[in-house]
Amino acid sequence: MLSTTREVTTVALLTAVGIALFVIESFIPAPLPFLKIGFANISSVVAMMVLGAPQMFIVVVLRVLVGSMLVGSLLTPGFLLALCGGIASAITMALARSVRKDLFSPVGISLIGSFTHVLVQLLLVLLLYVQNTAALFLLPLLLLSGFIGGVVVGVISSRLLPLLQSTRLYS
Amino acid sequence: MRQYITTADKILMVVSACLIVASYVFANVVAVQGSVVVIQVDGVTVHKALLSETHRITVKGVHGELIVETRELKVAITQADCPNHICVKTGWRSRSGEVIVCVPNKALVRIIAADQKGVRATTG
Repeated sequence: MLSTTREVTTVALLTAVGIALFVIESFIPAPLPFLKIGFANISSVVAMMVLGAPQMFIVVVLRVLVGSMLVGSLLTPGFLLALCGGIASAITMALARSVRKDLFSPVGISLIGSFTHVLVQLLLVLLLYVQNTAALFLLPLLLLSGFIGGVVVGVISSRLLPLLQSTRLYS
Repeated sequence: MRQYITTADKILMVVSACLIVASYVFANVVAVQGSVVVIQVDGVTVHKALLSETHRITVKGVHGELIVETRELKVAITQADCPNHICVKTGWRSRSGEVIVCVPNKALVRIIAADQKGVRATTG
């Protein structure tokens, strides 16, 4: 998985960028905790495009662990949601990419990841915290925020990738 | 390797946009269909009715009589025998979890989601 020094450093670099984005975004006030763009996901999309799916998993898990430690939400319900949502969206993004490399652009891939993130979190909230379908009223709002977040992250990632090509990130 | 929006991306976007609209319709229309209106006086449930049906229910409160009406997936206390009529001014409510209160009558009108445990709708 992490066979070369270059891979180790690239994963570390992307994780660090992801953590920074995660922490900075947590400063932005939001009316509801899950209404956010999810800029940190840029680092996972880029990790998958540059390195591959297994490396993206490392980036996602490390980012959520270290990020919530810095924000102070480690082992809170929100942390559990972030971790499960992150892993689930990493799986679907990897699946979307594994079908055919050029089927989805980064925009499509990050949209899929964003929707998975939102749906898995809502499902967990319904299963673990509120056993009440009233939470379903949030579904349209959540999907809309997932859509906006997914597109924003996807567009940023697809602009970023050609720029990274000229650097030594690609081996 | 310049990145462009692919056909699959466009299909995905259209599908997800439809999904958002569908979930909005679902949350605001379909999910409300099975909601139950529970009327309590002094902590005791005196009446239950489906929100989707049209009812005009007269309830005896602690202070006087109340008239609770349900229609078009909404519920309101339309008349009340109380000094301030705060309950009547609350107006029409439709979402599960919402509550209309009449303090002088110790009356509570509550909307409950259809599949919440322990609730059976008895209509009429």
